[in-house]
Amino acid sequence: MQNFDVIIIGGGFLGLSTAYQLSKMGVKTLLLEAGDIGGGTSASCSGRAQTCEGHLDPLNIQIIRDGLARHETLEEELGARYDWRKIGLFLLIRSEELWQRWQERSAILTPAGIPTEVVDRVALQKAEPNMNTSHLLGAAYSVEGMLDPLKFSLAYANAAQRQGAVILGRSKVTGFEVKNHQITAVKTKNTVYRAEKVAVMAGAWTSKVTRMAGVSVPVHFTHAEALVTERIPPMIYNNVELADFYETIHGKAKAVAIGVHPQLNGTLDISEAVTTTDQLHKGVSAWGVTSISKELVRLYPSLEKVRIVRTWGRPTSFTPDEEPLIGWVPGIDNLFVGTSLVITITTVPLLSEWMALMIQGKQSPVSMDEYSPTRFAVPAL
Amino acid sequence: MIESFELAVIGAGPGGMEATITAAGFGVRTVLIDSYPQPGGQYFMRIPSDFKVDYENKTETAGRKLVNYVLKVPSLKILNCLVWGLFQEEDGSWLVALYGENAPKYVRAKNLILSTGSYDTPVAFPGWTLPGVVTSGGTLVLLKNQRVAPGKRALISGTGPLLFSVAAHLIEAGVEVVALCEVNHILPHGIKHAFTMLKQWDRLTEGAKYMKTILGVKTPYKIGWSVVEARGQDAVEQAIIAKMDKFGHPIPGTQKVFDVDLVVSGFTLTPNTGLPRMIDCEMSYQAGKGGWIPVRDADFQTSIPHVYVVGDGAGVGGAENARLEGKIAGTSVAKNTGFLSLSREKQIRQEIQSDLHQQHRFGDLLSDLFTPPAGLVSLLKDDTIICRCEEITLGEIKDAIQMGARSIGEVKMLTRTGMGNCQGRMCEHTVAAIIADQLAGEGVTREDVGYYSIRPPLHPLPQSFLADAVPEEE
Repeated sequence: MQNFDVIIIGGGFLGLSTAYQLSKMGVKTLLLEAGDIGGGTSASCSGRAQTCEGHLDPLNIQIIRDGLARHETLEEELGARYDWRKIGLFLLIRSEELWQRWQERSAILTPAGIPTEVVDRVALQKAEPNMNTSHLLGAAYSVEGMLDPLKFSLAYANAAQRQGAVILGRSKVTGFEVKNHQITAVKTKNTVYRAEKVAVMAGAWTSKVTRMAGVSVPVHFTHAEALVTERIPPMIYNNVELADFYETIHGKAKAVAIGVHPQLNGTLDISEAVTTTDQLHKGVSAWGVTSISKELVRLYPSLEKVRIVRTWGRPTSFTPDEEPLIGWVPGIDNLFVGTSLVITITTVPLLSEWMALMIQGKQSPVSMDEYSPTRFAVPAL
Repeated sequence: MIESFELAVIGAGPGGMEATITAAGFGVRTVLIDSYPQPGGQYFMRIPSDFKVDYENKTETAGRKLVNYVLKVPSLKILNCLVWGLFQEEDGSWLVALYGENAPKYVRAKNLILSTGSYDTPVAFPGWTLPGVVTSGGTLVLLKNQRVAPGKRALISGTGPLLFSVAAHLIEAGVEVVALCEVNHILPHGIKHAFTMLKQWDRLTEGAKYMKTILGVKTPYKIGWSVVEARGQDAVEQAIIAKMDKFGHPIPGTQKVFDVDLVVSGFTLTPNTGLPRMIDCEMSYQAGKGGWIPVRDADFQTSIPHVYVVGDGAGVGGAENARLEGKIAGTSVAKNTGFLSLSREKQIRQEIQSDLHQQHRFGDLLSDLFTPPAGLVSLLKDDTIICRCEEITLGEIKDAIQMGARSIGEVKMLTRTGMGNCQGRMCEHTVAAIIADQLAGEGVTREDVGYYSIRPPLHPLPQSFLADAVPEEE
């Protein structure tokens, strides 16, 4: 039997960063990850630190702006490089209505510290000469961050371990002991761990984990697939996404929202084919791989001879109102959840510190009540 | 409209051909798919049809007969065609995604027999990426299939009986073989296998023929020696060999230098398991069978029902073993699809059981005597390139382990090893050996290190092809 103050379940960006913050504050922390460290959804992403695409309420804007600023010094703090850099982002605009909406959004974002502008087709074509812009009106432009997702995960994992946290990969949680609305133990195949508090930060797997403790949280997921090309000479200079990403995929059984992200080594990450599913898996489909290619060739005809070398698939979690889920779970007094951040990489440096304070029963500098699970009725199982 | 079959056989080597002949012979609607223009696989590789040759050896005759037979059996053959993905559909059948000039984009099948063979185990050593370092399989294809000698002065290094075949073929082609190095210390350990060996009459006579050629020109056969480095400016100019201890570490002060333009590296074969991995078949690590192989039942069915793996792709065992396994799998599919009675199936299985047993015993002998020793990783230097697609060195892999990577998946994510065009076929063996070696103190084994996951496309494919291959909604 091993005793800890806090057990975190999930070894992605949220779990690892929170383990780092907790142990830095002197809390005895254990992190359990079912697979490889950073190997879940966190590792299967393009590494974008998004800026201008979030909700426009003051809390969201603040965590994006301040989170982004934290990244400037975080590599130094963690003592490891994770290839942090800035890159331009074009959100492609295909309709007058979108043009209008992004004019309005930039009028809010820019003064709030997230400079965003709407540019016309001529300016977009000049910045991305290889793009077929014939079907576009223009784009919203902003600057965002990029990093290497696994280096970022391991930077946090190593820093947490140096602060005394125990980080265990390939340690799948198989059940809980619950007494009087308290989790008293966390079980893996071979070991039982005790802790004062448990924090589930398992992304799309979150509801599967909490269900083992007898409570349900409204975390849903879609399945996303993406492609990686061979290395090519520079032909795409900014990240490219659709301005209406959410509308493109929302409520559809399957849809492609094209996104292109040049990587440091000369490959391109091309996202993303989204399907509604109740299966948690990391596979790709014939439909997904070919449909993304079709959209890409339409947007960048000169890439048609470029070869696809790899693909990846992974679940992406979200809540019914598409806001993060952070806080104590009603029904069990010592169960905390943190998941579905919407804009994750940008905000993790800040939110992990705030979550670590909340887990200790302290106040975070800014209230995160609006992310609390209490906003959803939690049915007892 | 996607054409549907009861059975898709992937790979037209001895295993795939026999599976097709068996299943289709009983009436199972079968499609046979292969990447080469002619059936035969690596072992029975046919010379190009426009080549004129005036002799044919025993293997070539056997191969020609099997190929002619499979071509006559009523079934669809899709040749010159790569399989880039296997996708399971809601009804459990498989969508087989194809890439070939005259091939359909997809076929559909209820059963799969994967017979994708094996490839040369690429063992890295300093200089292994220089032009002029060639695998034994590659050398044999050039000599036998293309009638081309890849050099003038050769050093052969590796393990296993295939080295004799390479040496004999090189000598016959007029190449001077300066030495033949067998890294394993096969004597006196090998004596216990003498009885098994005596039952392999065909192999013994083939071996004796090779030995005659080799002894005829007095090529030195050095047991317990290995190449430790290849040197040269733009291509191989020198090979350095050393005496090795039984773990595969070079013994200091034993080095010899040869001026050569060809180094043949033949460290046995690795099962080609890309497709079983892609569909998440349960895998098991068997060093003696060439590495990670799919777990199978007595019918050679994997952990996924209706998916069979036969031949070298399920553990290196040779052509005859593959053929017998193909026959059993083909029979099993015929039974399961209602084309063969249970009693007849049992009878066929009994008829070949003792032959198959003998093949397995011979496989055990090979693995006992000729598995590449783990110590070969000690040859590597920090600047030796391990992943040639992404040009990742030993030093970079060690840095990743230093950062906390514990599995081959984590090393891949950190360094990009295995992320290039070959999806890790060339570097997996060495990267896994490096991780296990570096973390030996923590008790980390090759099983713990794991294997590269494989996702479609199995081979790099142009966007234009994929963009045109969106499956139609039906």
